Amino acid sequence: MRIVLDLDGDLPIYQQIRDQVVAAIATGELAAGDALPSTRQLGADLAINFHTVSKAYDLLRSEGLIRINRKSGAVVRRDPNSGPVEAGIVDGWRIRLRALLAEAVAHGMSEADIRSHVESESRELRTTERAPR
Amino acid sequence: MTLPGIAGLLLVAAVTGGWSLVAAITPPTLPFGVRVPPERIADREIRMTRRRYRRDLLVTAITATIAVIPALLLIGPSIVLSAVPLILGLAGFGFYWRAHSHLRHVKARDDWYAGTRQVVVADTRLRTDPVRPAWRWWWPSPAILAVSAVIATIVYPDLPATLPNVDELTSSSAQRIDTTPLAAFSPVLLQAGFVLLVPLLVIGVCRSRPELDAARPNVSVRRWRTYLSGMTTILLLSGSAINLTLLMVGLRLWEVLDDTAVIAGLSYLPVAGLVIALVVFEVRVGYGGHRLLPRPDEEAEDIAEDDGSVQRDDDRYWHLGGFLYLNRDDPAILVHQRAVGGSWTLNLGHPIVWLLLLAATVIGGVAVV
Repeated sequence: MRIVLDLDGDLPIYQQIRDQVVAAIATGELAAGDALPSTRQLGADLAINFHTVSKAYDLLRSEGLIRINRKSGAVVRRDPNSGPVEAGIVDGWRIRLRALLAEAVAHGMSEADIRSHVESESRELRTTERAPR
Repeated sequence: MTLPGIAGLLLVAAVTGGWSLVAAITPPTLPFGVRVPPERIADREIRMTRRRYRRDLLVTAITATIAVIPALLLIGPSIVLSAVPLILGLAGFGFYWRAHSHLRHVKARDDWYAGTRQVVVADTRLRTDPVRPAWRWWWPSPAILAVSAVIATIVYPDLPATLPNVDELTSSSAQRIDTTPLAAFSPVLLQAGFVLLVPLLVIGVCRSRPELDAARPNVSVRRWRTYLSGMTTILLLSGSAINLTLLMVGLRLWEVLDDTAVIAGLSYLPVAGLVIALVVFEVRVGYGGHRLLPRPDEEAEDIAEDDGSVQRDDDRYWHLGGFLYLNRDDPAILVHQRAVGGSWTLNLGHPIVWLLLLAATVIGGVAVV
């Protein structure tokens, strides 16, 4: 997969890395069992502090998407084909969803608008069949 | 024309050619080691800077060509032949630095990056499926070391009290050095050093940051793979070339071979061949592979994905005309050189690099004392 960072942007760098890994898993670019580079190596490749990469990996681990072994490094733990959602994941996701929905409602978006955006984004994710990178 | 005259003119041509090459092999987005956005690569200022740089080099080379023969006659070959590369080298560096500074000034003045989205890009496939160096090219170098060690051990008991001084390109029998174990085995010790150093460098180079272009990521990933694979092969072969030259130096030192000018010249042939191979590779493949033709599918993919992002302007970390790199936040130790292609430099912002430089200074100091 490719990681593109806007180092001068508003979104924290670890968040950008985390979001892109999640997107890569969702679109099938990364599958369960795929290895991710070590934090030092990815830090060096992006010319950023490796603690920033660690932070992104820790977040992905706490969300159950990757596992980190001392020996084999970071490995993707689950993908859309790994079976039903694990316990506790939906709760955390709903909290983040609530924040996003609040944003939409605060800006005056109607329920129909929100529903149509969710449907189109979800459809796009599921139909994006990319060649594995 | 005499031999020093020819040598002097060759030196003028070599140094001028070297500086022309340094400016010519960098990619269009890095003229004189200054990062510029893709839409500025044909800017008038860059064209004018290149023209002025070439003119200055040419004028200096012509002046040196005219001056070198009278200088040889008046001052003598030993001073002139060491002064020519020094003076021309410094002049070339001065012209390069001026070009670099001028472009940086113009870039800042006219705000070339205004309105662009600057990003950095990494491709994890380069780590999960890395370029594998052709390690088979390393094996000749320990083999040559073994041959040299055997010869040195056989000839050592019968060596005379003094050895010829082969530090000079062509030694004269008048300057001889005492036969000590260190002096007699010095070529073998140096060979052993290169046998160990080359694989370390190859590993370091493979782990260094790839030169990817955020505006053309697919094309630049493949270019980097080809470039890195070629560069690591050249690096591995360099161990053999240097060790072959050191074996020849050893044979002259142990007086197995006569120390004539022809033999001395021949002993530097492997290293000269290596330099030529490196230059040819750089010219054909380019900096990070930028001269390789893009594959149509990769180019189409890049164009389809193009969202106007450009590679981040990282000039703030490059100093001294783009020759020195210092970035405290960068965990990289070895980084691909900005101003000159085909080489890597140390990140002077990394604590391990400080330790390395300190160690090198101490060892160098001890060696001098």
